[in-house]
Amino acid sequence: MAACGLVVALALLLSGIALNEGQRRDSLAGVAAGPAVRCTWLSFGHEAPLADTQLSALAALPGVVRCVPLIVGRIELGGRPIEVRGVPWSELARESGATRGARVENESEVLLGVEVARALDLGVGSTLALDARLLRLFTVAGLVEDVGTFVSRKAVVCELEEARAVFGLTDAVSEAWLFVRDGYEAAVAEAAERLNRAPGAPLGGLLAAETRAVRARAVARSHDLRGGHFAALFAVALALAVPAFGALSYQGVAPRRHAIGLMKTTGWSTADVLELVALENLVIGVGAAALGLALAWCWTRLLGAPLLAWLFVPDLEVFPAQRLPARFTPLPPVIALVAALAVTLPGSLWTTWRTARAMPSEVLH
Amino acid sequence: MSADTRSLEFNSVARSRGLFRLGPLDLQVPAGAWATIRGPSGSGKTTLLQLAAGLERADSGRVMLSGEDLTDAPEGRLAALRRRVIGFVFQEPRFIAHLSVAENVALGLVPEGLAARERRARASAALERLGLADVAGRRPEQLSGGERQRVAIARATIHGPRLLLADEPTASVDEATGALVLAYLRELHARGATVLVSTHDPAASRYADLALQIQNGQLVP
Repeated sequence: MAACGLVVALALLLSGIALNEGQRRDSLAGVAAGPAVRCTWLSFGHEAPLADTQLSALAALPGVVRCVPLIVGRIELGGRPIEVRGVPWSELARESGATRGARVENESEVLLGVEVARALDLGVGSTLALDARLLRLFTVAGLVEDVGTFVSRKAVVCELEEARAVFGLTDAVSEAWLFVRDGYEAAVAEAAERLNRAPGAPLGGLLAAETRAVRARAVARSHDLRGGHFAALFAVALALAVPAFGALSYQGVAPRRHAIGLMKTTGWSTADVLELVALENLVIGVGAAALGLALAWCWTRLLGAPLLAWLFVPDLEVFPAQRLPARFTPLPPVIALVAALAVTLPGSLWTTWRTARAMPSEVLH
Repeated sequence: MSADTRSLEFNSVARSRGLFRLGPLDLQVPAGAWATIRGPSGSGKTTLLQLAAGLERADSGRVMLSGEDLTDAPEGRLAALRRRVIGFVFQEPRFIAHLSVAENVALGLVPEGLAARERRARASAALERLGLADVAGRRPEQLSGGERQRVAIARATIHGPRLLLADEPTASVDEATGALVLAYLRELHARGATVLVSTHDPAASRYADLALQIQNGQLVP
């Protein structure tokens, strides 16, 4: 019973770590595939629409190869907040590698991330209504199955002008992505922010530029924090589990008193008995860690991490209808083994030691 | 008398357990002797044997084995003596239920670091000597009372003890099995082991070099 509880707890730990690692990998892959510099307009410290008039100045900065205006926003679909991206025609044509189905060929078609498609039960050919300031109907042309520069498994991607219409923007975008020559990232970001001081710069806000390296650090940091919170909570649970397992071991040692007494009668020393119990615990620990890993794999990869995924992915339901990326690295099983031993060993060894140090006649009496 | 000839010696040994008190008593069992202890139930036979085996400690006095003082011996040393020098047979055979008969017999060989194959071979040989070759793979609860007692003797003697302590080994077996058990103990004795048996069995007393009588925790003439 106690061992089953341990396996479930370890499965929870490993699932959480795998989900966090999967999300981190996806997010960092998105950052790596994205622009070298992302520019936004900040008004009172919050992101606000970036006027089209500034795009030409950004495109003209030394080192900039391409300046792509984008709309990135959120709307509610099927009761869920879904990311919508508006991307120029010319850029969408480059994204065919990440998609399944046809390419977008006209303004009434969209690409749908597979996670969104699963959550909304949509497929290629389905009709989708996007409604923010204006309701527009689209047909799903293809499904995004991989990370691309502009597409994502978690977003609906449509043509830029359609996105403008949906969000009610006419002469502005939400951000601009700058693709630059190698080694120009920092210089372009600095030059973009210097535009704020240029004569005739728009008032009422500031142009902010963020390099890929800065974004990668921010993404890694957010996942470290999330994983850290989870690990800290688990550590608390572990600390509570140690005395609980100790109490269970104490109850469980009564039937073993007889065996320990016999072992001592035949020449086992206290150290021999403790060594055997430690070995047993090691076997239980390895078994629990292996079973926990297998359960975690099934939980996340096959079942979509019910009861757990919402802790790692905002706006997700307790029983998500989609499968989330999960990544199993070698370290978590080692952590699981150490955790299993930390839970089982102290209680077992202490209760066994209490029995084994007594004289055999007392134990067998 | 040199240490070599005094296999077991009690010097003013006393032990209390609840209202019962054993001793203080003095006792010398020469090396290679066959000694019996007779006495009514509750007279202290089992306590005396357990003190001799280092299974419990005396409250006072000295228990000496081949000149070595067991009274204050460290726990590890007592374990080593039980593993290599002393064999102990309980009145009621006791086993670890989830182990096979052979595994129970070989229990004392595990801390010696013997390989499993070697342990199995020695357990089989010990069982065969007691006519139990075919029960090695069974569980203890599948055995008859007589078989269980013989298995307990096989376990107590698998390491060739120089001192065998048997607590009424024939009390719970039929006459034929009792004779078989005594014959085996005689064989061990013939090979040089010191044997101390608590018994009501006249057959066991017949061979005694030293016949002791105990009553109310005291040896009586």
